[in-house]
Amino acid sequence: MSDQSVNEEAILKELANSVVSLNEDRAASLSREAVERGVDAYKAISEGLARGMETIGEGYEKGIYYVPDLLVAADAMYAGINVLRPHFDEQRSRDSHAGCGVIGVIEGDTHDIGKNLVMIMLEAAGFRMVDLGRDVPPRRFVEAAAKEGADVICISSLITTAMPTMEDVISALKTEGIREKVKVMVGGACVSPAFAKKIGADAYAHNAAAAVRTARLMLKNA
Amino acid sequence: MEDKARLLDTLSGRQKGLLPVVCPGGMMSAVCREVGLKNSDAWPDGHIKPDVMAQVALEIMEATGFENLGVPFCVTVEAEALGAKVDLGDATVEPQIAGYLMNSQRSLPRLDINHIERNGRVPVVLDAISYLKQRHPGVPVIGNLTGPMSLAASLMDPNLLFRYMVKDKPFVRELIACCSETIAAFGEAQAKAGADVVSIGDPTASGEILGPELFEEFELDSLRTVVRRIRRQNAMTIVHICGNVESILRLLPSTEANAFSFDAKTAVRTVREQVGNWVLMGNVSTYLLAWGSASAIANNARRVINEGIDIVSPACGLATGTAAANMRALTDAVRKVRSATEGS
Repeated sequence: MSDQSVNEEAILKELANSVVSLNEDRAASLSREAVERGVDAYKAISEGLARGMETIGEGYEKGIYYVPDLLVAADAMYAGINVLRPHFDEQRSRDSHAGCGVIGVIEGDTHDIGKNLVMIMLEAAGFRMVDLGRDVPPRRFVEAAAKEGADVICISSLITTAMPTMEDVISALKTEGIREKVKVMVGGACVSPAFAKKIGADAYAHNAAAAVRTARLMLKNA
Repeated sequence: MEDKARLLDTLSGRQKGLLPVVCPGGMMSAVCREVGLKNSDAWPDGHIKPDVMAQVALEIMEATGFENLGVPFCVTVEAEALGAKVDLGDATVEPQIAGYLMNSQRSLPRLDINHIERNGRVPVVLDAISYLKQRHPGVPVIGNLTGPMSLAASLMDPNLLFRYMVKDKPFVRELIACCSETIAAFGEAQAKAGADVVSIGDPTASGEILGPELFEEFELDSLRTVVRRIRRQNAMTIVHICGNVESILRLLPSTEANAFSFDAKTAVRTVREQVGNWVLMGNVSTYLLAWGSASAIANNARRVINEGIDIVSPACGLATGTAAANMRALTDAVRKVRSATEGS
Protein backbone atom coordinates (compact mmCIF):
# COMPACT_ATOMS: atom_id res chain seq x y z
CA MET A 1 0.00 0.00 0.00
CA SER A 2 1.34 3.43 -0.89
CA ASP A 3 2.01 6.12 1.72
CA GLN A 4 -0.73 8.19 0.18
CA SER A 5 -3.40 5.56 0.68
CA VAL A 6 -2.23 4.75 4.19
CA ASN A 7 -2.50 8.43 5.05
CA GLU A 8 -5.90 8.62 3.43
CA GLU A 9 -7.10 5.60 5.35
CA ALA A 10 -5.85 7.15 8.56
CA ILE A 11 -7.71 10.39 7.90
CA LEU A 12 -10.93 8.57 7.05
CA LYS A 13 -10.67 6.63 10.31
CA GLU A 14 -10.05 9.84 12.26
CA LEU A 15 -13.05 11.48 10.59
CA ALA A 16 -15.23 8.58 11.64
CA ASN A 17 -13.85 8.75 15.17
CA SER A 18 -14.56 12.45 15.48
CA VAL A 19 -18.24 11.71 14.90
CA VAL A 20 -18.25 8.74 17.28
CA SER A 21 -16.62 10.91 19.95
CA LEU A 22 -19.25 13.62 19.35
CA ASN A 23 -16.53 16.16 18.62
CA GLU A 24 -17.84 18.85 16.30
CA ASP A 25 -14.67 20.95 16.31
CA ARG A 26 -12.47 17.98 15.53
CA ALA A 27 -14.75 16.84 12.71
CA ALA A 28 -14.52 20.29 11.14
CA SER A 29 -10.74 20.63 11.55
CA LEU A 30 -10.08 17.12 10.27
CA SER A 31 -12.28 17.84 7.27
CA ARG A 32 -10.15 20.91 6.52
CA GLU A 33 -7.07 18.74 6.83
CA ALA A 34 -8.59 16.18 4.49
CA VAL A 35 -9.14 18.86 1.87
CA GLU A 36 -5.56 20.10 2.25
CA ARG A 37 -4.21 16.59 1.88
CA GLY A 38 -6.19 16.06 -1.30
CA VAL A 39 -8.52 13.40 0.06
CA ASP A 40 -11.56 13.13 -2.18
CA ALA A 41 -14.27 15.20 -0.44
CA TYR A 42 -17.09 12.82 -1.23
CA LYS A 43 -15.05 9.89 0.08
CA ALA A 44 -14.25 11.84 3.24
CA ILE A 45 -17.99 11.98 3.87
CA SER A 46 -19.15 8.57 2.76
CA GLU A 47 -16.21 6.58 4.11
CA GLY A 48 -15.26 8.88 6.97
CA LEU A 49 -17.90 11.01 8.66
CA ALA A 50 -20.87 8.90 7.60
CA ARG A 51 -19.14 5.72 8.77
CA GLY A 52 -18.87 7.28 12.19
CA MET A 53 -22.58 8.03 12.08
CA GLU A 54 -23.25 4.41 11.12
CA THR A 55 -21.28 3.25 14.15
CA ILE A 56 -23.36 5.54 16.34
CA GLY A 57 -26.49 4.12 14.71
CA GLU A 58 -25.39 0.58 15.51
CA GLY A 59 -24.67 1.62 19.09
CA TYR A 60 -28.11 3.21 19.30
CA GLU A 61 -29.70 -0.08 18.32
CA LYS A 62 -27.66 -1.89 20.95
CA GLY A 63 -28.63 0.56 23.68
CA ILE A 64 -25.16 2.08 24.00
CA TYR A 65 -26.09 5.48 22.63
CA TYR A 66 -29.38 7.28 23.00
CA VAL A 67 -31.14 10.18 21.34
CA PRO A 68 -29.05 13.05 22.74
CA ASP A 69 -25.83 11.30 21.61
CA LEU A 70 -27.22 10.81 18.12
CA LEU A 71 -28.10 14.46 17.77
CA VAL A 72 -24.65 15.63 18.86
CA ALA A 73 -22.91 13.05 16.66
CA ALA A 74 -24.99 14.32 13.76
CA ASP A 75 -23.83 17.86 14.52
CA ALA A 76 -20.23 16.66 14.24
CA MET A 77 -20.97 14.92 10.96
CA TYR A 78 -22.67 17.98 9.46
CA ALA A 79 -19.90 20.28 10.70
CA GLY A 80 -17.51 18.19 8.63
CA ILE A 81 -19.88 17.99 5.66
CA ASN A 82 -20.21 21.77 5.59
CA VAL A 83 -16.43 22.07 5.28
CA LEU A 84 -16.27 19.43 2.55
CA ARG A 85 -19.33 20.32 0.50
CA PRO A 86 -17.78 23.12 -1.60
CA HIS A 87 -15.07 20.68 -2.62
CA PHE A 88 -17.01 17.86 -4.10
CA ASP A 89 -18.44 17.19 -7.50
CA GLU A 90 -22.21 17.79 -7.27
CA GLN A 91 -22.91 15.68 -10.35
CA ARG A 92 -20.91 12.75 -9.09
CA SER A 93 -22.54 12.96 -5.71
CA ARG A 94 -25.98 13.04 -7.34
CA ASP A 95 -25.11 9.95 -9.32
CA SER A 96 -23.84 8.20 -6.21
CA HIS A 97 -26.96 8.79 -4.18
CA ALA A 98 -28.47 5.65 -2.75
CA GLY A 99 -31.85 7.11 -3.52
CA CYS A 100 -34.07 10.09 -2.82
CA GLY A 101 -36.47 10.30 0.06
CA VAL A 102 -39.16 12.72 1.15
CA ILE A 103 -39.73 12.76 4.90
CA GLY A 104 -42.03 14.47 7.36
CA VAL A 105 -44.24 14.26 10.42
CA ILE A 106 -47.88 13.71 9.47
CA GLU A 107 -50.49 16.43 9.81
CA GLY A 108 -51.79 16.84 13.34
CA ASP A 109 -48.46 16.02 14.96
CA THR A 110 -45.48 18.23 15.74
CA HIS A 111 -43.09 15.80 17.47
CA ASP A 112 -40.12 15.72 15.13
CA ILE A 113 -37.07 14.31 16.87
CA GLY A 114 -37.64 10.79 15.56
CA LYS A 115 -38.13 12.12 12.05
CA ASN A 116 -34.93 14.18 12.37
CA LEU A 117 -32.99 11.10 13.45
CA VAL A 118 -34.28 9.05 10.52
CA MET A 119 -33.33 11.83 8.13
CA ILE A 120 -29.83 12.05 9.62
CA MET A 121 -29.24 8.31 9.34
CA LEU A 122 -30.59 8.14 5.77
CA GLU A 123 -28.40 11.07 4.71
CA ALA A 124 -25.42 9.39 6.35
CA ALA A 125 -26.28 6.31 4.29
CA GLY A 126 -26.09 8.35 1.10
CA PHE A 127 -29.75 9.17 0.51
CA ARG A 128 -30.74 12.62 -0.73
CA MET A 129 -33.44 13.65 1.73
CA VAL A 130 -36.08 16.34 1.38
CA ASP A 131 -37.41 17.38 4.78
CA LEU A 132 -41.03 18.52 4.79
CA GLY A 133 -40.96 19.29 8.50
CA ARG A 134 -43.89 18.65 10.83
CA ASP A 135 -47.67 18.80 10.68
CA VAL A 136 -47.47 17.96 6.96
CA PRO A 137 -50.74 17.51 5.05
CA PRO A 138 -50.96 14.26 3.05
CA ARG A 139 -51.05 16.11 -0.29
CA ARG A 140 -47.69 17.74 0.40
CA PHE A 141 -46.00 14.38 0.75
CA VAL A 142 -47.36 13.36 -2.64
CA GLU A 143 -46.53 16.65 -4.36
CA ALA A 144 -42.99 16.64 -3.02
CA ALA A 145 -42.44 13.01 -3.99
CA ALA A 146 -43.61 13.72 -7.53
CA LYS A 147 -41.54 16.91 -7.83
CA GLU A 148 -38.34 15.34 -6.48
CA GLY A 149 -38.75 11.98 -8.19
CA ALA A 150 -38.50 10.41 -4.76
CA ASP A 151 -37.93 6.70 -4.35
CA VAL A 152 -39.37 6.62 -0.87
CA ILE A 153 -41.77 8.60 1.31
CA CYS A 154 -41.06 8.39 5.05
CA ILE A 155 -43.96 9.32 7.31
CA SER A 156 -43.60 9.71 11.06
CA SER A 157 -46.24 9.94 13.77
CA LEU A 158 -45.84 9.91 17.53
CA ILE A 159 -49.44 10.27 18.67
CA THR A 160 -52.38 7.96 18.15
CA THR A 161 -54.62 10.81 16.98
CA ALA A 162 -52.54 11.47 13.86
CA MET A 163 -52.21 7.85 12.71
CA PRO A 164 -55.25 7.58 10.42
CA THR A 165 -54.06 10.57 8.39
CA MET A 166 -51.06 8.51 7.29
CA GLU A 167 -53.42 6.39 5.25
CA ASP A 168 -54.51 9.52 3.38
CA VAL A 169 -51.00 9.81 1.94
CA ILE A 170 -51.37 6.40 0.37
CA SER A 171 -54.83 7.21 -0.98
CA ALA A 172 -53.50 10.45 -2.44
CA LEU A 173 -50.65 8.55 -4.16
CA LYS A 174 -53.23 6.26 -5.74
CA THR A 175 -55.38 9.19 -6.83
CA GLU A 176 -52.34 10.75 -8.51
CA GLY A 177 -51.58 7.44 -10.20
CA ILE A 178 -48.08 7.23 -8.74
CA ARG A 179 -48.51 4.65 -5.98
CA GLU A 180 -46.29 2.18 -7.83
CA LYS A 181 -43.57 4.75 -8.39
CA VAL A 182 -42.69 5.29 -4.75
CA LYS A 183 -42.25 3.18 -1.64
CA VAL A 184 -43.89 4.25 1.60
CA MET A 185 -42.21 3.67 4.95
CA VAL A 186 -43.89 4.57 8.24
CA GLY A 187 -42.67 4.83 11.79
CA GLY A 188 -43.14 6.51 15.14
CA ALA A 189 -43.87 5.55 18.71
CA CYS A 190 -47.51 4.61 18.18
CA VAL A 191 -47.07 2.94 14.80
CA SER A 192 -46.71 -0.82 14.46
CA PRO A 193 -46.01 -3.33 11.68
CA ALA A 194 -49.68 -4.33 11.81
CA PHE A 195 -50.76 -0.74 11.34
CA ALA A 196 -48.34 -0.27 8.45
CA LYS A 197 -49.81 -3.32 6.74
CA LYS A 198 -53.36 -2.17 7.42
CA ILE A 199 -52.90 1.15 5.69
CA GLY A 200 -51.04 -0.35 2.76
CA ALA A 201 -47.59 1.03 3.53
CA ASP A 202 -44.64 -0.86 2.08
CA ALA A 203 -42.67 -1.01 5.29
CA TYR A 204 -42.42 -0.12 8.96
CA ALA A 205 -39.21 0.86 10.71
CA HIS A 206 -38.98 0.88 14.48
CA ASN A 207 -36.04 3.26 14.76
CA ALA A 208 -33.65 5.37 12.69
CA ALA A 209 -31.06 2.64 12.18
CA ALA A 210 -33.74 0.17 11.08
CA ALA A 211 -35.03 2.82 8.68
CA VAL A 212 -31.74 2.73 6.79
CA ARG A 213 -31.76 -1.06 6.42
CA THR A 214 -35.40 -0.98 5.40
CA ALA A 215 -34.91 1.78 2.84
CA ARG A 216 -31.96 -0.03 1.27
CA LEU A 217 -33.92 -3.28 1.12
CA MET A 218 -37.01 -1.64 -0.35
CA LEU A 219 -35.05 0.03 -3.12
CA LYS A 220 -33.09 -3.10 -3.91
CA ASN A 221 -36.33 -4.95 -4.48
CA ALA A 222 -37.96 -2.09 -6.35
CA MET B 1 -66.71 -1.78 47.24
CA GLU B 2 -66.44 1.98 46.72
CA ASP B 3 -64.31 3.19 43.82
CA LYS B 4 -62.12 5.26 46.13
CA ALA B 5 -61.31 2.37 48.44
CA ARG B 6 -60.65 0.10 45.48
CA LEU B 7 -58.07 2.44 43.98
CA LEU B 8 -56.43 3.61 47.21
CA ASP B 9 -56.17 0.10 48.68
CA THR B 10 -54.51 -0.98 45.43
CA LEU B 11 -52.11 1.96 45.31
CA SER B 12 -51.14 1.58 48.96
CA GLY B 13 -50.30 -2.05 48.32
CA ARG B 14 -52.80 -3.08 50.95
CA GLN B 15 -54.61 -5.43 48.59
CA LYS B 16 -53.94 -7.10 45.27
CA GLY B 17 -56.48 -8.21 42.70
CA LEU B 18 -58.98 -5.41 43.22
CA LEU B 19 -58.56 -4.30 39.59
CA PRO B 20 -59.67 -0.68 39.50
CA VAL B 21 -59.97 0.73 35.97
CA VAL B 22 -59.05 4.39 35.63
CA CYS B 23 -57.97 7.10 33.24
CA PRO B 24 -55.96 9.66 35.23
CA GLY B 25 -56.33 12.82 33.12
CA GLY B 26 -53.52 15.20 32.20
CA MET B 27 -51.65 13.61 29.32
CA MET B 28 -54.12 10.75 29.50
CA SER B 29 -57.27 12.79 29.23
CA ALA B 30 -60.48 10.99 28.32
CA VAL B 31 -62.12 14.08 26.86
CA CYS B 32 -63.36 12.55 23.65
CA ARG B 33 -65.35 14.06 20.84
CA GLU B 34 -68.72 13.13 22.33
CA VAL B 35 -67.95 14.56 25.75
CA GLY B 36 -66.38 17.62 24.15
CA LEU B 37 -69.19 18.21 21.67
CA LYS B 38 -71.95 17.59 24.18
CA ASN B 39 -71.52 21.19 25.23
CA SER B 40 -69.29 22.59 22.51
CA ASP B 41 -70.01 26.11 23.78
CA ALA B 42 -68.39 25.04 27.04
CA TRP B 43 -64.96 25.05 25.41
CA PRO B 44 -62.47 26.30 26.21
CA ASP B 45 -64.32 27.04 29.48
CA GLY B 46 -63.64 23.45 30.54
CA HIS B 47 -59.97 24.44 30.81
CA ILE B 48 -60.39 27.86 32.44
CA LYS B 49 -63.45 27.70 34.73
CA PRO B 50 -63.33 25.43 37.79
CA ASP B 51 -67.03 24.57 37.82
CA VAL B 52 -67.01 23.68 34.12
CA MET B 53 -63.79 21.67 34.54
CA ALA B 54 -65.42 19.75 37.37
CA GLN B 55 -68.57 19.20 35.33
CA VAL B 56 -66.55 17.84 32.39
CA ALA B 57 -64.67 15.47 34.69
CA LEU B 58 -68.02 14.15 35.91
CA GLU B 59 -69.37 13.79 32.36
CA ILE B 60 -66.28 11.83 31.36
CA MET B 61 -66.72 9.45 34.25
CA GLU B 62 -70.37 8.96 33.42
CA ALA B 63 -69.80 8.43 29.71
CA THR B 64 -66.79 6.12 29.98
CA GLY B 65 -67.21 4.18 33.18
CA PHE B 66 -63.67 4.98 34.34
CA GLU B 67 -63.65 4.81 38.13
CA ASN B 68 -62.08 8.15 38.86
CA LEU B 69 -62.31 11.87 38.30
CA GLY B 70 -59.24 13.40 36.67
CA VAL B 71 -58.12 16.98 36.04
CA PRO B 72 -56.81 18.89 34.16
CA PHE B 73 -57.35 17.76 30.56
CA CYS B 74 -54.02 18.81 29.11
CA VAL B 75 -50.28 19.04 29.77
CA THR B 76 -49.94 22.81 29.46
CA VAL B 77 -50.80 24.23 32.89
CA GLU B 78 -47.27 24.22 34.31
CA ALA B 79 -45.61 25.63 31.19
CA GLU B 80 -48.22 28.36 31.06
CA ALA B 81 -47.66 29.13 34.74
CA LEU B 82 -44.00 29.67 33.83
CA GLY B 83 -44.88 32.06 31.04
CA ALA B 84 -45.44 29.94 27.93
CA LYS B 85 -48.23 30.91 25.56
CA VAL B 86 -50.97 28.33 25.22
CA ASP B 87 -53.57 27.83 22.51
CA LEU B 88 -56.54 26.50 24.46
CA GLY B 89 -58.13 24.67 21.51
CA ASP B 90 -61.82 23.83 21.35
CA ALA B 91 -64.32 21.03 21.81
CA THR B 92 -62.15 18.50 19.97
CA VAL B 93 -58.62 19.93 20.15
CA GLU B 94 -56.60 19.78 23.35
CA PRO B 95 -54.64 22.83 24.58
CA GLN B 96 -51.19 23.11 22.98
CA ILE B 97 -48.13 25.15 23.83
CA ALA B 98 -47.89 27.87 21.20
CA GLY B 99 -44.16 28.40 20.79
CA TYR B 100 -41.19 27.58 22.99
CA LEU B 101 -40.52 30.02 25.79
CA MET B 102 -36.76 29.39 25.76
CA ASN B 103 -34.45 29.28 22.78
CA SER B 104 -31.09 29.23 24.51
CA GLN B 105 -29.41 28.63 27.85
CA ARG B 106 -29.66 32.31 28.61
CA SER B 107 -33.39 32.43 29.06
CA LEU B 108 -34.17 30.48 32.24
CA PRO B 109 -37.61 31.54 33.42
CA ARG B 110 -38.23 33.34 36.71
CA LEU B 111 -41.25 32.18 38.64
CA ASP B 112 -42.74 33.11 41.93
CA ILE B 113 -42.66 29.54 43.18
CA ASN B 114 -43.96 30.57 46.59
CA HIS B 115 -47.31 31.48 45.13
CA ILE B 116 -47.81 28.82 42.49
CA GLU B 117 -51.50 28.71 43.36
CA ARG B 118 -51.87 32.14 41.75
CA ASN B 119 -50.31 31.43 38.35
CA GLY B 120 -52.17 30.84 35.10
CA ARG B 121 -54.72 28.05 35.33
CA VAL B 122 -53.27 26.55 38.51
CA PRO B 123 -56.08 28.06 40.64
CA VAL B 124 -58.65 26.61 38.21
CA VAL B 125 -57.30 23.09 38.64
CA LEU B 126 -57.07 23.45 42.42
CA ASP B 127 -60.62 24.76 42.73
CA ALA B 128 -61.96 21.99 40.50
CA ILE B 129 -60.21 19.40 42.68
CA SER B 130 -61.71 20.88 45.87
CA TYR B 131 -65.15 20.99 44.30
CA LEU B 132 -65.00 17.38 43.16
CA LYS B 133 -63.57 16.16 46.46
CA GLN B 134 -66.36 17.77 48.44
CA ARG B 135 -69.23 16.73 46.19
CA HIS B 136 -68.11 13.16 45.42
CA PRO B 137 -66.39 11.66 48.43
CA GLY B 138 -66.67 8.07 47.27
CA VAL B 139 -64.86 8.65 44.00
CA PRO B 140 -61.07 9.02 43.79
CA VAL B 141 -59.90 12.41 42.49
CA ILE B 142 -56.69 12.22 40.49
CA GLY B 143 -54.70 15.40 39.93
CA ASN B 144 -52.11 15.49 37.19
CA LEU B 145 -48.64 16.89 36.72
CA THR B 146 -46.40 17.15 33.68
CA GLY B 147 -43.11 15.48 34.57
CA PRO B 148 -39.87 17.50 34.84
CA MET B 149 -38.33 16.35 31.55
CA SER B 150 -41.55 16.80 29.60
CA LEU B 151 -42.06 20.24 31.12
CA ALA B 152 -38.50 21.18 30.15
CA ALA B 153 -39.23 19.97 26.61
CA SER B 154 -42.37 22.16 26.52
CA LEU B 155 -40.30 25.22 27.44
CA MET B 156 -37.44 24.50 25.05
CA ASP B 157 -37.39 22.64 21.74
CA PRO B 158 -36.22 19.12 22.56
CA ASN B 159 -33.99 19.29 19.48
CA LEU B 160 -32.03 21.87 21.51
CA LEU B 161 -32.63 20.49 25.00
CA PHE B 162 -31.30 17.04 24.15
CA ARG B 163 -28.12 18.53 22.71
CA TYR B 164 -27.59 20.53 25.89
CA MET B 165 -27.87 17.29 27.85
CA VAL B 166 -24.56 16.33 26.28
CA LYS B 167 -22.96 19.74 25.75
CA ASP B 168 -24.12 21.88 28.70
CA LYS B 169 -25.08 19.68 31.59
CA PRO B 170 -25.10 22.41 34.28
CA PHE B 171 -27.71 24.33 32.30
CA VAL B 172 -29.95 21.29 31.92
CA ARG B 173 -29.61 20.51 35.63
CA GLU B 174 -30.72 24.05 36.45
CA LEU B 175 -33.64 23.91 34.05
CA ILE B 176 -34.83 20.54 35.36
CA ALA B 177 -34.49 21.82 38.93
CA CYS B 178 -36.71 24.79 38.08
CA CYS B 179 -39.21 22.45 36.42
CA SER B 180 -39.32 19.98 39.28
CA GLU B 181 -39.71 22.76 41.86
CA THR B 182 -42.70 24.09 39.88
CA ILE B 183 -44.22 20.63 39.59
CA ALA B 184 -43.60 19.72 43.22
CA ALA B 185 -45.30 22.92 44.41
CA PHE B 186 -48.27 22.30 42.10
CA GLY B 187 -48.49 18.68 43.25
CA GLU B 188 -48.44 19.67 46.93
CA ALA B 189 -51.19 22.20 46.24
CA GLN B 190 -53.27 19.57 44.43
CA ALA B 191 -52.96 17.23 47.41
CA LYS B 192 -53.89 20.02 49.82
CA ALA B 193 -56.89 20.87 47.65
CA GLY B 194 -58.11 17.31 48.05
CA ALA B 195 -56.56 15.16 45.33
CA ASP B 196 -56.40 11.56 46.55
CA VAL B 197 -53.80 10.70 43.95
CA VAL B 198 -51.39 12.76 41.86
CA SER B 199 -50.23 11.26 38.58
CA ILE B 200 -46.99 12.48 37.02
CA GLY B 201 -46.83 11.93 33.27
CA ASP B 202 -43.35 12.21 31.78
CA PRO B 203 -43.32 10.86 28.22
CA THR B 204 -40.14 12.72 27.28
CA ALA B 205 -38.25 10.82 29.95
CA SER B 206 -38.76 7.53 28.14
CA GLY B 207 -36.05 4.91 28.34
CA GLU B 208 -35.86 4.70 24.59
CA ILE B 209 -35.06 8.42 24.36
CA LEU B 210 -32.73 9.00 27.29
CA GLY B 211 -31.37 5.63 28.29
CA PRO B 212 -30.46 4.75 31.87
CA GLU B 213 -27.43 7.03 32.27
CA LEU B 214 -29.14 10.27 31.28
CA PHE B 215 -32.31 9.23 33.11
CA GLU B 216 -30.33 8.71 36.28
CA GLU B 217 -28.34 11.88 35.76
CA PHE B 218 -31.21 14.27 35.07
CA GLU B 219 -34.57 12.76 35.88
CA LEU B 220 -34.56 10.21 38.68
CA ASP B 221 -33.83 12.46 41.66
CA SER B 222 -36.31 15.06 40.43
CA LEU B 223 -39.09 12.51 40.14
CA ARG B 224 -38.35 11.17 43.58
CA THR B 225 -38.33 14.67 45.07
CA VAL B 226 -41.72 15.44 43.55
CA VAL B 227 -43.14 12.11 44.73
CA ARG B 228 -41.88 12.65 48.29
CA ARG B 229 -43.28 16.14 48.55
CA ILE B 230 -46.70 14.94 47.41
CA ARG B 231 -46.58 12.02 49.81
CA ARG B 232 -45.93 14.41 52.69
CA GLN B 233 -49.29 15.96 51.89
CA ASN B 234 -50.90 12.53 52.25
CA ALA B 235 -51.71 11.86 48.62
CA MET B 236 -50.63 8.84 46.61
CA THR B 237 -48.59 9.00 43.44
CA ILE B 238 -48.42 7.41 40.02
CA VAL B 239 -45.54 7.84 37.59
CA HIS B 240 -46.38 7.32 33.91
CA ILE B 241 -43.69 7.00 31.26
CA CYS B 242 -44.46 6.09 27.63
CA GLY B 243 -42.52 4.20 25.03
CA ASN B 244 -40.17 1.29 25.55
CA VAL B 245 -39.01 1.65 29.15
CA GLU B 246 -36.98 -1.54 29.41
CA SER B 247 -33.68 0.30 29.71
CA ILE B 248 -34.78 2.24 32.81
CA LEU B 249 -36.98 -0.30 34.59
CA ARG B 250 -34.42 -1.12 37.27
CA LEU B 251 -34.23 2.59 38.22
CA LEU B 252 -37.94 3.31 38.42
CA PRO B 253 -38.93 1.79 41.76
CA SER B 254 -36.58 4.23 43.48
CA THR B 255 -38.87 7.07 42.42
CA GLU B 256 -40.93 5.78 45.39
CA ALA B 257 -44.18 6.31 43.52
CA ASN B 258 -47.07 4.13 44.64
CA ALA B 259 -47.56 2.84 41.09
CA PHE B 260 -45.89 2.77 37.71
CA SER B 261 -48.02 3.26 34.60
CA PHE B 262 -46.66 2.28 31.21
CA ASP B 263 -47.27 1.87 27.49
CA ALA B 264 -48.32 -1.10 25.40
CA LYS B 265 -44.77 -1.16 24.00
CA THR B 266 -43.44 -2.88 27.09
CA ALA B 267 -45.14 -6.11 28.15
CA VAL B 268 -46.54 -6.38 31.67
CA ARG B 269 -44.47 -9.53 32.20
CA THR B 270 -41.24 -7.74 31.29
CA VAL B 271 -41.95 -4.96 33.75
CA ARG B 272 -43.01 -7.37 36.49
CA GLU B 273 -39.77 -9.33 36.13
CA GLN B 274 -37.72 -6.20 36.79
CA VAL B 275 -39.77 -4.49 39.50
CA GLY B 276 -41.28 -7.29 41.54
CA ASN B 277 -44.29 -6.42 43.64
CA TRP B 278 -44.59 -2.78 42.67
CA VAL B 279 -48.13 -1.73 41.77
CA LEU B 280 -48.40 -1.67 37.98
CA MET B 281 -50.87 0.25 35.85
CA GLY B 282 -51.66 0.20 32.14
CA ASN B 283 -51.42 -0.72 29.37
CA VAL B 284 -54.43 -1.12 27.09
CA SER B 285 -53.62 -0.17 23.49
CA THR B 286 -54.83 3.31 22.61
CA TYR B 287 -54.93 2.26 18.98
CA LEU B 288 -57.49 -0.43 19.84
CA LEU B 289 -59.40 1.99 22.02
CA ALA B 290 -59.62 4.41 19.10
CA TRP B 291 -60.30 2.02 16.23
CA GLY B 292 -60.79 -1.47 17.59
CA SER B 293 -63.98 -3.37 18.18
CA ALA B 294 -65.53 -3.71 21.62
CA SER B 295 -64.52 -7.37 21.68
CA ALA B 296 -60.90 -6.65 20.71
CA ILE B 297 -60.75 -4.09 23.51
CA ALA B 298 -62.25 -6.52 26.00
CA ASN B 299 -59.72 -9.16 24.93
CA ASN B 300 -56.88 -6.71 25.41
CA ALA B 301 -58.16 -5.84 28.88
CA ARG B 302 -58.38 -9.51 29.85
CA ARG B 303 -54.90 -10.13 28.51
CA VAL B 304 -53.24 -7.37 30.54
CA ILE B 305 -55.12 -8.55 33.62
CA ASN B 306 -53.87 -12.10 33.03
CA GLU B 307 -50.35 -10.78 32.63
CA GLY B 308 -50.53 -9.29 36.09
CA ILE B 309 -51.55 -5.63 35.83
CA ASP B 310 -52.86 -4.22 39.10
CA ILE B 311 -54.71 -1.17 37.76
CA VAL B 312 -56.17 -1.20 34.27
CA SER B 313 -55.80 1.99 32.24
CA PRO B 314 -55.02 3.16 28.72
CA ALA B 315 -51.42 2.64 27.62
CA CYS B 316 -50.88 6.30 26.80
CA GLY B 317 -52.65 9.39 25.55
CA LEU B 318 -55.99 8.65 23.92
CA ALA B 319 -56.74 9.75 20.38
CA THR B 320 -59.28 12.59 20.39
CA GLY B 321 -61.59 10.57 18.16
CA THR B 322 -61.85 7.74 20.65
CA ALA B 323 -65.51 6.87 21.18
CA ALA B 324 -66.93 6.88 24.69
CA ALA B 325 -68.51 3.52 23.83
CA ASN B 326 -65.05 2.04 23.31
CA MET B 327 -63.86 3.32 26.66
CA ARG B 328 -66.97 1.83 28.17
CA ALA B 329 -66.17 -1.48 26.46
CA LEU B 330 -62.89 -1.40 28.38
CA THR B 331 -64.33 -0.49 31.76
CA ASP B 332 -67.22 -2.94 31.44
CA ALA B 333 -64.81 -5.73 30.51
CA VAL B 334 -62.75 -5.09 33.64
CA ARG B 335 -65.83 -5.05 35.86
CA LYS B 336 -66.93 -8.32 34.28
CA VAL B 337 -63.61 -9.93 35.18
CA ARG B 338 -63.97 -8.58 38.71
CA SER B 339 -67.44 -10.01 39.23
CA ALA B 340 -66.33 -13.34 37.82
CA THR B 341 -63.49 -13.55 40.33
CA GLU B 342 -64.99 -11.95 43.41
CA GLY B 343 -68.72 -12.36 42.89
CA SER B 344 -69.20 -8.70 43.77
